[in-house]
Amino acid sequence: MASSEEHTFENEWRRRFDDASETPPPALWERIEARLDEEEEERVMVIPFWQRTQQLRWVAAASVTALLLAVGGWWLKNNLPEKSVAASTELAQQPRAVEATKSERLSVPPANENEPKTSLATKSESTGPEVAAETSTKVTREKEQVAAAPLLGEASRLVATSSKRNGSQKVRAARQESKRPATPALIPPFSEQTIASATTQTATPSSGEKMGAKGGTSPEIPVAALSEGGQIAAPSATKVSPEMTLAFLENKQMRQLLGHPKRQPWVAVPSVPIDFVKPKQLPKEYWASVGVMPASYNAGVEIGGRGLLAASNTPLYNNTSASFNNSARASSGTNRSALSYAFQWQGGVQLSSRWSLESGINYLQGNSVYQGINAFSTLSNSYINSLESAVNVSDNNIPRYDFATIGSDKSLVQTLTTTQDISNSYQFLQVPVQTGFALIKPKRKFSLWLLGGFINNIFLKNSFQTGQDNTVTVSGNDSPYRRLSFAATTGMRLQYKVNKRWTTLLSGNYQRSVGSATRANAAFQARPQLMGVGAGVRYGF
Amino acid sequence: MKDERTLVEGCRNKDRIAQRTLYERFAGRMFAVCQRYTRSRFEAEDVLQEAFVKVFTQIHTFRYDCPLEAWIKRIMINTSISYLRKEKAYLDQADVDDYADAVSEGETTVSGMEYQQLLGMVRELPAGCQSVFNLYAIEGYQHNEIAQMLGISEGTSKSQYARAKQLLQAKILETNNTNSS
Repeated sequence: MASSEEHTFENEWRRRFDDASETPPPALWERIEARLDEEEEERVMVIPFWQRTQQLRWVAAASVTALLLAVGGWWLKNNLPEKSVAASTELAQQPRAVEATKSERLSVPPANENEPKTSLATKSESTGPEVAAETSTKVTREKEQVAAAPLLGEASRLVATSSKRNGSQKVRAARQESKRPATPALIPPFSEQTIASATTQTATPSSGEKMGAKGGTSPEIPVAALSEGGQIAAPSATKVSPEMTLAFLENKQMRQLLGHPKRQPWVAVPSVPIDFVKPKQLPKEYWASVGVMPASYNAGVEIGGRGLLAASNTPLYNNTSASFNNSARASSGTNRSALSYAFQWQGGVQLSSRWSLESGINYLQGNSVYQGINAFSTLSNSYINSLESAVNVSDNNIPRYDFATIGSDKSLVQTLTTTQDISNSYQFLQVPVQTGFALIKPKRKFSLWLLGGFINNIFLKNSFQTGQDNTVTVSGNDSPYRRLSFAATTGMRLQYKVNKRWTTLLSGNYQRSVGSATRANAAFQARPQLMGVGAGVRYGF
Repeated sequence: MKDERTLVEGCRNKDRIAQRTLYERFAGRMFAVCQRYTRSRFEAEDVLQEAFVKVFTQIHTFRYDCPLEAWIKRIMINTSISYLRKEKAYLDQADVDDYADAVSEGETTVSGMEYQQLLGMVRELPAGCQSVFNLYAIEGYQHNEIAQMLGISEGTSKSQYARAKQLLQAKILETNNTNSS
């Protein structure tokens, strides 16, 4: 019975309330709408695109690109050595200079009005007459400038002290001031100086008083009240730029202002003091390393090419002869790698936790075998192989080597040919320029880097076997090899940081020549490739 | 149903007209819900406003697995409970044995009473009782669910309900007697 009674009781009530409806006040929707606007604004500001990225992928991509460009530009700007040093020096000196000469500037126009870094006073002076004419009041330029001084001092005091109540009142005062129309000519320099001064004052609290005392040179200015920390009596003539107000609001008190929404995901920050306040830039890490890299070097020799026409004048390349020419055309020989090595002395700079820039000098001993053809020349009465013949004719057809000239009489060349493994021993000086990207950042002991760049190969010499099993060395500017050739390089490097200074390196490296390492008119081409695994140690400075 | 879906989609796209339409469709009934859980019209307005803002900002979480009205009503109730919790409305909790006396059923019918009268009675209930009564009698939740929602024990929920029922029956009796005399 009890349960059915209960059931009846509840049903009755439920029935009465279920369909109940009451019209809310009409203003309620407006309040909801206002709240929605507020919420949306915050949402859009905090997560600008993310909830709408489905439709805005391209916009997002463009934004990311723009951001990267901006960051890149910013980085470049900040990393130009002379400029940054000069800028920081200027920034460091500017506020002190402003403070030191404040009293003079208040009354005496500076000598150099064209100085680009003119202070407020300077610019005010230059625009003074116009200002006076426009306002047509008794307020002089000095008054305007000095009137700013209490505010500057006050601003610094606001920053320095933690008195929230007083602070917010004064900030409100400052905001009210900022709403008043400012003389256009005064705004930019004024804000610049204000921010600069305010920051300086934070660093040296006593300077606020100093400034007040100096401000006292003008009798109309109520600086005494300020230095006692009382309420500010901002003169009505004071012009405060929006930037100046922002500088005042640059502490927590901003959030306590009446009329400000509680949540403010974006707080406007003046751009000037950022550079100014935080010259904090992580010092770049420089390092030097030595290493050795056993490698497999393949000279990639290919007989034939643009120099072939010149070479065809020689019997060895004559079509009618049965010797090298046919062979060279059919299969220009094969190349085999041989054990080689490189010594590496490198230096670099770690630009960021991800990026590094590296260069140095390597000595490369590249051993490679070219399987060519050996034939007997009746003219020279000696055996001669295809490589030496090609080298010989490549040098502008001037015979320079021991195996020397072969006459035009094709009958002098024996048709009996054999293959010969011609050992080559190349020596290069290499100047790599490459960047590193940390796949695993060097936060702890291990880091993994992806390397990429190019190498300047400076040809030193090549020694190779002749048909007579002698060794001939080719070097110098007039050799068929280019003095300077280029190669692309890529690789990976595993680093283990032993301690603060020392790091061990293990790297894999691949290099491939860009274009031929021989001259354009050479009768053969060489496109060397190298693959090596190196080890080394690095010292960080 | 299709209309409701269109409305929801409009709200998801932050279409202000769709939001306004949804508000106008449900505001009356939801205001009544808020009235039951709060102690004054002003409080109810506050809760309604807050709850509708939640509805519009959380509309993307609505999965069509229940009627839209039920979903909105649940938000109203949750918002009301949060509001009351902030107001410390659950301080007076009593044991179930304290309210064992029951009033006989036949004399406590609400059929002849005005809605506003009934609403007034509910609002006059002690704070803890009011919510439990609403949740149990009107919304149909079980005591264990109510305990979870309000962060109280199941026993407390039962005792609060018993107390609420007793008080309401007493008020109805009193009202009926006044009317008949």
